[in-house]
Amino acid sequence: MKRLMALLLALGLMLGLTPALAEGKAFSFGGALDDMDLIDVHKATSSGVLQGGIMVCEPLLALQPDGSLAPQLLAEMPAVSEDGKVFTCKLREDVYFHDGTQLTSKDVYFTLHRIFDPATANVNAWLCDMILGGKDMLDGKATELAGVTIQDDFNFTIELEYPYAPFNYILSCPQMLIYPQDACTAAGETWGIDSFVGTGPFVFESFTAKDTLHLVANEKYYEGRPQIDEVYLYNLDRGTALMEFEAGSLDLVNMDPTYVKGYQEGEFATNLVMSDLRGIIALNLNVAMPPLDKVKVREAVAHAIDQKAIVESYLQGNGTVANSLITPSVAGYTDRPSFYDPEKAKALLAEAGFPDGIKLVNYVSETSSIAGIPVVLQEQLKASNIELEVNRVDSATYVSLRKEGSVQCPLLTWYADMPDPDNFTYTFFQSGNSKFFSSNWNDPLTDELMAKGRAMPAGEERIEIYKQIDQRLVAEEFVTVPLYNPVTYYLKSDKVEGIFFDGSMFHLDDASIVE
Amino acid sequence: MSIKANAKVQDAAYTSFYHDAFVRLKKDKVAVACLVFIVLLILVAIFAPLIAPYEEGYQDTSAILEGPSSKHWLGTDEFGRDILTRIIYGSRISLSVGLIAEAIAVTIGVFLGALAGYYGGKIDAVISRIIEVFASFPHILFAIVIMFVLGTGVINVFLAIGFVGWTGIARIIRAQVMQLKEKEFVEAARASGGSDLKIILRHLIPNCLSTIIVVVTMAIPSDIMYEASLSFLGLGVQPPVSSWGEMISMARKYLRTNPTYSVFPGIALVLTVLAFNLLGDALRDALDPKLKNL
Amino acid sequence: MLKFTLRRLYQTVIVLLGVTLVTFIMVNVVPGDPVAVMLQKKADDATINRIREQMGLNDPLPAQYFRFLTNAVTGDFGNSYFQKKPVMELILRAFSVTGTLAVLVLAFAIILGVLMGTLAAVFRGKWVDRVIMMISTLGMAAPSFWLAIILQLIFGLTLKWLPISGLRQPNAYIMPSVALGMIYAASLARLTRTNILDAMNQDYIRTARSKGVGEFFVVAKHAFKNAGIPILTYLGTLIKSILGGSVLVETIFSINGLGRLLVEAIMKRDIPIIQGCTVYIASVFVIANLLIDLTYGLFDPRIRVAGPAKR
Repeated sequence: MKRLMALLLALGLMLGLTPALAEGKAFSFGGALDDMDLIDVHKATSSGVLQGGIMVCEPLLALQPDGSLAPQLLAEMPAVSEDGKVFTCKLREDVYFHDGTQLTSKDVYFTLHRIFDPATANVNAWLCDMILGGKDMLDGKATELAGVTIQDDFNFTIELEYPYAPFNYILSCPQMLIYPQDACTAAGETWGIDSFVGTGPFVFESFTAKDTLHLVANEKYYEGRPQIDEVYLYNLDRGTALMEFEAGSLDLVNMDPTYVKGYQEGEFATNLVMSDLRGIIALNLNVAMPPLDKVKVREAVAHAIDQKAIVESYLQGNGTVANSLITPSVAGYTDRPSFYDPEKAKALLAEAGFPDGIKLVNYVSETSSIAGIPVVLQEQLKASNIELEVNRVDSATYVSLRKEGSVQCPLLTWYADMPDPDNFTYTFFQSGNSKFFSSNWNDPLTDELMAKGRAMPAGEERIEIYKQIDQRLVAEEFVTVPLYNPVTYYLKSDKVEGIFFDGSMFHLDDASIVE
Repeated sequence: MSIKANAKVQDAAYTSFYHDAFVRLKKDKVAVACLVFIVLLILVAIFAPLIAPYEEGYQDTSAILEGPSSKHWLGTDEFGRDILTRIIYGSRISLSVGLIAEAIAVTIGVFLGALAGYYGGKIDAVISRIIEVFASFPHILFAIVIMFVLGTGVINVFLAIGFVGWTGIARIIRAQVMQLKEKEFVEAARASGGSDLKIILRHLIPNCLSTIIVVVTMAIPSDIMYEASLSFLGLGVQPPVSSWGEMISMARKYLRTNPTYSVFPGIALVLTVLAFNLLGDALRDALDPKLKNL
Repeated sequence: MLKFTLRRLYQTVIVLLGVTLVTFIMVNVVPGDPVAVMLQKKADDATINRIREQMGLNDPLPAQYFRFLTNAVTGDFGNSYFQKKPVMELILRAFSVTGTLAVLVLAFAIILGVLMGTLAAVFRGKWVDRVIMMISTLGMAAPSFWLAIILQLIFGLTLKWLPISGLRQPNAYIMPSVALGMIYAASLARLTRTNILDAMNQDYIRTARSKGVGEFFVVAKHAFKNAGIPILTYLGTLIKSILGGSVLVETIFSINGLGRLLVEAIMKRDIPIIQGCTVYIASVFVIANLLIDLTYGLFDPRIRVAGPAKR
C-alpha cells in the first residue's frame, strides 16, 4: 500500500511537471499482428488478438508459471462433483469492471451464453462445447444455456455434458475471458473495436485496427494497480519490429527463430529470452487422398523425414525433435526413436506398389512462420524417391483448401490452449474434426479411445489411454509425422522486469519499468 | 511508274532505314555494352545447369546463412542453397518474364491499337474507352488481383504482367497507325486490291516495327520489376524455383547478419534493368527519335 | 472549350462505369469463400449459407452488380467483412496517409528531378551532366523495395537518424518518400533534360540569346514553358504509379496506406474493401487525368482539337 502511494505520488509529480509526456512508464510491445481487426476473443484465433484481450479482461482461473491453476475471478478453485460433471463456482466479491459495475454471476452467464449464441459466430466455441446445452444453442435448438445455473450474485454452477477432466484448464484459456453484460450488450457490433470493458489490470483506451492498441493502468485493480502506466501494442512487420527494438522504441518484441542468429551475440544478447511454446509441428498425411490411403505409403513417408536435420540445420537448433504428437511436458507423451531411414522408406514404397516413388502435393500459407519447412522437406524426401510439390498460397486460399479436406500433406502447427493431451489429439483426429484439418482420419477405435479419455478423471489410467492414442496415430497408422517442438524467442529491453510469458501470452500485471 | 512500283520503292527505303539505324547503334559504345550484357545474360539463362556450381534446389545443410566463402562464392541462404546458383537460375525467370509477358502485351496491344487506329470512328471510340478503363488500374495492384484470380505460379505471373501492360503499346500503335494510314503506300495497297486485314498485317504493322522494338525494350525492365515485386510479396514463383525478387524478399529477415544475401540479387536486378533501359534509349535514338517524349 | 470539356466528361463517366464493371467481375471470380475464411475453424454449411444469405451473396450476379453500382455512386461500398466498419471510412483514412505520401513523393520527384534535369541541360556535356545522368540512370533501375530496405538499414538502424517504421513523427515521411520517389525523380530528370535541350535549340531561344539575355534566364523562362507540357503529361502516369507502387514501401515501413489496405483485403478475401479500393484508386487516376487534360485544353488550343494527349 505504501509502495502504491509512493508510486502514485511520483506519478503525480511527474504528470505535474511534464504534462504531455506519453512515455514515463509506458510499455511498448511490437509484433506481427496483421489479424488485429478487433480484440473480441470470441471472433479471433490468433495470439495477437488474444494478447490484447487478456490484458483487459480475465478468465475465471489463471495458469501459473509452474503450470498449475489458481483462481482469478473466482474466490477459490471450483468444487467438482463425484461424477465429474458439475463445477460449483464462487466468485470474488471485490471485482469491478472498468466501467464501475460489479462482477456478478450474470456476467458469467452472459459471456458463456454469448460464446454459444449463433449470432456471435464465435470461432472458438469448440473449446468449451462440453458445457451442457452449448451444442444445442449452436445448432439453434435452444436459446438458453442449460448447463449454467445461477444461485445468487456470486455463486453459480457449470454442468458438463460428460465428465471432462481438464475442464478447469479450459476455464483459464484466453478464449474464456469474462465480459460484462451491460457494457458488452450496449456496444453491440463495436465490441472489441470501439469499446472493450473488463476486469483486468489494464483499461482499454483506444484501438486502431491492425495498427495500435492503447491501454492504461487500471487504478482500481483488485490485485493492486499495475506498475506500468500505459501499454501500447503495435502491429509491425517482423523485421521492422526488430529494428525498432534496436532503436530503442519498443520494450518487448516477439521474435521468429529465423532471426535469432543475429542476436545471439553482440549488443542484445542479454535481452534475448528463449521460451518453450507447448506446441507441435507435424506433417499430417491425408488418408483420403491416394497414395496416402495406404498405410505402407504413410509409413514410408515417416521413414523419409530427418527431423534432426531440420532442427539442427534449418532451425539452427531452435527447437526439439518430436517423435510424439503430444509435447514432452504434457501427460501421454511417449519418447520414441526417429523413424528416419531413407532406404527403408524406398523399400516400403516398393512393397506398397510404388517402386519408382510417389509424388505428393503440399500447400502452405506463405505468411506462416513454418512456410520454409516444406522447402526443407522437399529436398529431404528426394532421397526416398518422394517428389514433393510445394505451393505457397495466401492464407485465405490455404484455409479454404484445408478446410475442404483437400490438402494432401498439410503441416500441422499447433500451440496448445492448455497442457492437456486431449487438446493435441481430439482437436484434429476425431472423425468429426479431421476433415477440417485435411487429415480425414476416421477411425472408430481412435474415436472410442478419445471419448474415453475425455471423460476419465486425471490419473494413470487416463495417461495410458493417451499414450495408446499417440501410439496408434504416430507409430501404427502413421496418420501424422511429428517433426519438432517449436521454441520462440523474444527480446525484452533492459528497462523492463517482471514479464511473465506463459508459453503463448505475455502477462504484464507484475511487470515494471526500471528507468 | 506504276502504283505497285511506288509501293516497292517505299519498301526499299525501309530496309536501308534499319541498316542506317544499326550503323548508328554500333557507334554508341554504351548501347553495345548493354547488348553484349543482355546476350551474355541470355546465354547464362539457357546454359544455367552447366554454369551453376550446384543444382537449383540443392540444400547444403552444413552451411546455413553463410557469407561468401570458397565453397559458396556468394554465400548461402536460410536453406543452405548456394546464392550464386540461385542468381544464375533466377535470370531465367527475369528474362522469361520480359519475353513472354511482352509477347502477350504486344499481341493484345498491337492488335487492338491497330484496329482502333485504322478504322477510327465508333470502333476507335469503343477500343479507346476499353484502353482507358484498363489503363486506369495501377499496374501492380491489377497484377496482384489477377494473381489472386489465377493462383500463384510462374505462368500466371507472365499472364498477369502481360495482361496489365498491353495498354501502353495499344495507345502508341494506335497513334502510329492513324498517322501511317494517310500515307501514299497505303492508298497504293488499297488500290491494288488489298483487304483491310492484309493492309494492317502486311503494311501498317511492319512499319511500326521500330516503334514496337523500342517500346518493348523499354517495357521489359518494368516487367522484370513487376515480377520481382510480385515475388517479393510472395505471389510469384514456387520453391524450389528462384527469382531475384523472391530472394530479396526472403533476405530481408537476415539483413543484419547477412546483408550480402539481399545485395547480390539486388545488383543482378539493377544491372539487368539498367541494360535494358540504356539499350532501349539507344534504340529509340537510332530508330525513332520522335518517341523521345515517352 | 465547353464542347471539349463536355466530351471529356462524357468519356470519363463511361470509363468509370467500365472500371466498376471490370472490378466487380474480377473480384467475384476470385476463388475462396470469404464467409468460410471469416468463420475459420468450424462452421458447417448451414451457418455459412445463412450468413451468405444475410450478406446478399446468394443473389444472382447482375443483381449484385447493380446494387454495387448504385451504392458505389453514393460512395457506399458496404462494410468490411472483418473490420466491421464502413469501407469508405477505411479507404478515406488510408487515403489520407497514402495521399500525403503521394504529395511528398511528387514534390520530391518534381523538385529533385526538374532541378537535376535543368542543371544537366545547362551544363550539358560537362561532368555535372554526366554525373547527374549516371545517378538518374541508376536511380531508375533500383527497385523501390530494395531501396527502402537499404535506406532503413543505413539511416534508421545504423545512423539512427530517422524512424524505421510508422508515421508517428514528421520525419518518418522522409525515407518512404525517397524510396518511392527515386525512380520518378530519376526519370523526370532525364525527361526535363531532354525537353529543355530540345527547346533550347529552337529559334526563339536563339533569338533571346542573341539579345544578350543571360543563359539561365533564357532556359528558365522560355524552355520551361514548353518543357512543362510533357512533364504535365508525365504527372498522370506518376500519380497512377505512386498509388499502386506504394504497396511495397508501405509494407516495409509498416504504413497503413491504401496499397496495404488493398493487398491485405485481397489476402483475406474482404470483398467490400477490394471492390471499394480498386474502384477508388482507379477513379482517382481517371479524374486526375481528366483534370490534367482540361488544364492542357486551357493552355494549348491544339489539344482541344486533336484530342487527349498521348500518354
